[in-house]
Amino acid sequence: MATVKYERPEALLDVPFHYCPGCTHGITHRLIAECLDELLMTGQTIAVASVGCSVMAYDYFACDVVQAPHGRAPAVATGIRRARPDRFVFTYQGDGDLAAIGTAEIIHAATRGENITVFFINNAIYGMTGGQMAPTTLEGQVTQTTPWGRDPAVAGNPIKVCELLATLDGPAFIARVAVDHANQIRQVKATIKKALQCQLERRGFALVELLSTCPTNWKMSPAEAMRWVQEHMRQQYPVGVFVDHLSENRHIFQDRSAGDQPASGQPLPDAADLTAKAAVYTTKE
Amino acid sequence: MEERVLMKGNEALAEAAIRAGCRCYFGYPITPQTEIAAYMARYMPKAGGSFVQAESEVAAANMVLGAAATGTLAMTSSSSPGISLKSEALSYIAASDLPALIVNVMRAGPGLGGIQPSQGDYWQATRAAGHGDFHQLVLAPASVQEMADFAALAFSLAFRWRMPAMILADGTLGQMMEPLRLPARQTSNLSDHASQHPELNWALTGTENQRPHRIVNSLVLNPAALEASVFDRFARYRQVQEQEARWTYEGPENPDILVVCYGSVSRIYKQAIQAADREPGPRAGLFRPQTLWPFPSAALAAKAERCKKILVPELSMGQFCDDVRLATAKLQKPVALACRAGGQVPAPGEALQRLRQTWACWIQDHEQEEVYYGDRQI
Amino acid sequence: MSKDLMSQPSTLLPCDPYRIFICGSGGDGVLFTGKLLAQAALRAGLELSWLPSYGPEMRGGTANCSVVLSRQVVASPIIDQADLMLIFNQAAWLKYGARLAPGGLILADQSAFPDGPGAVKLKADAQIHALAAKQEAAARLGRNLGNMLLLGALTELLPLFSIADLLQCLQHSLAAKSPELLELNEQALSLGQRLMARELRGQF
Repeated sequence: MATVKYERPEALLDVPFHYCPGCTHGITHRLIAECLDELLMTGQTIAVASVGCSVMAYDYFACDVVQAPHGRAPAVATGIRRARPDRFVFTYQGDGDLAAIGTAEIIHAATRGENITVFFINNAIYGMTGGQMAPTTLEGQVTQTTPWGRDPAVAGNPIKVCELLATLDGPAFIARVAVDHANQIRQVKATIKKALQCQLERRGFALVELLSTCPTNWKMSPAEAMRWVQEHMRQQYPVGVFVDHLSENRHIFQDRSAGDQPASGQPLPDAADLTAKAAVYTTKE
Repeated sequence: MEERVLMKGNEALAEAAIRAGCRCYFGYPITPQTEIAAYMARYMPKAGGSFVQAESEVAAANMVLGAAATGTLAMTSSSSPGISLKSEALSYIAASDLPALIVNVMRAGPGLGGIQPSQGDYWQATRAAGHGDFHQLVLAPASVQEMADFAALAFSLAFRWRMPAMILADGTLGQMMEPLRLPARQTSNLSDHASQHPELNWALTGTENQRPHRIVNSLVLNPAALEASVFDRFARYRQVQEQEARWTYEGPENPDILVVCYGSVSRIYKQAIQAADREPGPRAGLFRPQTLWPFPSAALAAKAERCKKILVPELSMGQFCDDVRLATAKLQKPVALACRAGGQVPAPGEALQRLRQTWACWIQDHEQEEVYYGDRQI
Repeated sequence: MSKDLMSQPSTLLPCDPYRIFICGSGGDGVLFTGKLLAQAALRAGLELSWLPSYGPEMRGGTANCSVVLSRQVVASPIIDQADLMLIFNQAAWLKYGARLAPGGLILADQSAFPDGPGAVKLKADAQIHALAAKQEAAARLGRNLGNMLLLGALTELLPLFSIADLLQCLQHSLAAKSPELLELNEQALSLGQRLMARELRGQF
């Protein structure tokens, strides 16, 4: 008879999460902690917590942590990395933090190829402040500040961070995954691990975008929220690897089960299509 | 003893900072302080440190926050408009009890203003460096020698008191060259500074799985806990005020006029006082705060008690005079204020004229207070 | 001025503090001229300050710098009057000429005074000397070294620094860049000195 041992990773402290039911921060924290354990990085790692729901990540991770001003985590991480080149640094940032107020910091940390790992939590909304429009909010998505749905004519279009950063020469690894189904967990973890490995091997800047849920502010049940990621967010934000200097292999993840096929039934785009789409996107108007 | 060298104030400050053990410089170009960044770009890597030209002042100051959190001597520099952008990180640095050096080589404002020398950021430096209840140390050099000396002093005070220190200079001090003796070189490595200084028991160095994790944080959602942390910080500030105020005084024991000013202005008035001493008329003394926070209030009051009138010249609109008035309020001495703004700097001739004018006013009326707006008297 | 006096290292200042103002246009070498005087003063054990005009002014517009020499630590690096003015063109003369202190000395490129230095009205006891410095430098050395000619001429007028003093400072800053440039500067300094000596002989 086999026994499955399911323990708290050592990189996580024995502190109860404060996150809402159905929120994927907890899963993501755990997966990062498992990877830190497996790569034996915890004792040499300094994490950067950012402003948003995950600000109190400093209470959960067992490594040293600094809490950065809103959007500045990549700059703070740069300071740490330059001061202590012998240490590892990861930032944990939400979509408002990274793609709105911190746009300059993330782009320049990426283009400098800072040897840091960025975990970018994209849940298409500002969670901490109670559900306002994020830079990644989908067209038509209702939020507190887009009460009739996001209208691109008024509120602009959603930002595709991975596609944007993939145009730069600095990054060594850029990938997007979705924390929207149990069958995704291995892929999410493998991607997180690869991004941390990138830093271990001093390849430079690595970013993982994690399509995540916010049931509270989306006003959905946890199960509905997962489905909403599968059916809507994945359409706007296709999962895949955009830059991979570790294996020089850019690809769209194909190992998805039928459960997370887009509702539209559209075939998944390949990387070439994505690039073409990006070109169309930037030249529109 | 080191031989005398000839350097610009900006370069002397940069070299002295490296010699003091600074190993991280993050900056962004702006006149009239860019020589600091240029010097650091050239020489910081040779010292085994790190130089980054950041994407903005905001980012540069936040890089300082990150480096300071590791216990490394880290600094940034800018001029007035750039300092406004650094104020976000300054507040976080103060709230996280981190030591760091910020240099402001002031130019004229408000807004984009001009690039000529000014002292218009006095309130910002001493009162409102960022949001919330906090202070930073503010050092005011008046020579190229002090630009260098205060770099080491700023780091030592910042680490002793775990708070940010600002060197508040101006375009004249940054751009001028004077002979100076550079301070001795302190050895410091990027990776072992905190390990060589066990008192830095707050520094984020990695737990090495040997100790509980450390958190550098400024978020305290519990009002009682946040109040307690602010009260603690202000108790520390009181000690700083008692122990760290610095000033110089040159002049007679009982001056007729006590000239109170700081930075490059004190040099101009020193010249004017020397000229006034060669002719009949009032005898003047020069009181120059070297620290603007803590302000040397007690020392100033002791000097002011022995004078007949106080003259406060500044390259701003009475910002510095506020502190002089606060320090001397109980003495009820008349205070004359001589303002220049916009990057206009008084020459020694104008300074001499102010001394004569303010004395003439005193002879007419022992209680009169006047304000000179450049050449205009109001 | 006797040769003996000139060759002696001397810290003799005509007055203390001795305020020097150098003005011209971008490209005249205004700031460098001031730096060279400052370095020579440092070597002579004097106290000094050097203060440039800075910012967009430097790019093509007017440029100036103030050098104050003293036996004591310099009080004000900012000056409203100059005991010595080095002037490189007419625009600089028109803008700053009024700063000359009583008893002061002007040493200028002749382009500063289109009607000749004789036509200039000066304050009491002031002296004025003009040389075709830029023109001679271009003609004889093929270089824009008018500033070095003026400095060479200055050594003939004042026992502040000798050509040897200035050359030692130049060596410090130019030797690494190019020995030829150093050689040219030396020629310019000595040419300026000879021209001024001739000028003085002509006057007396």
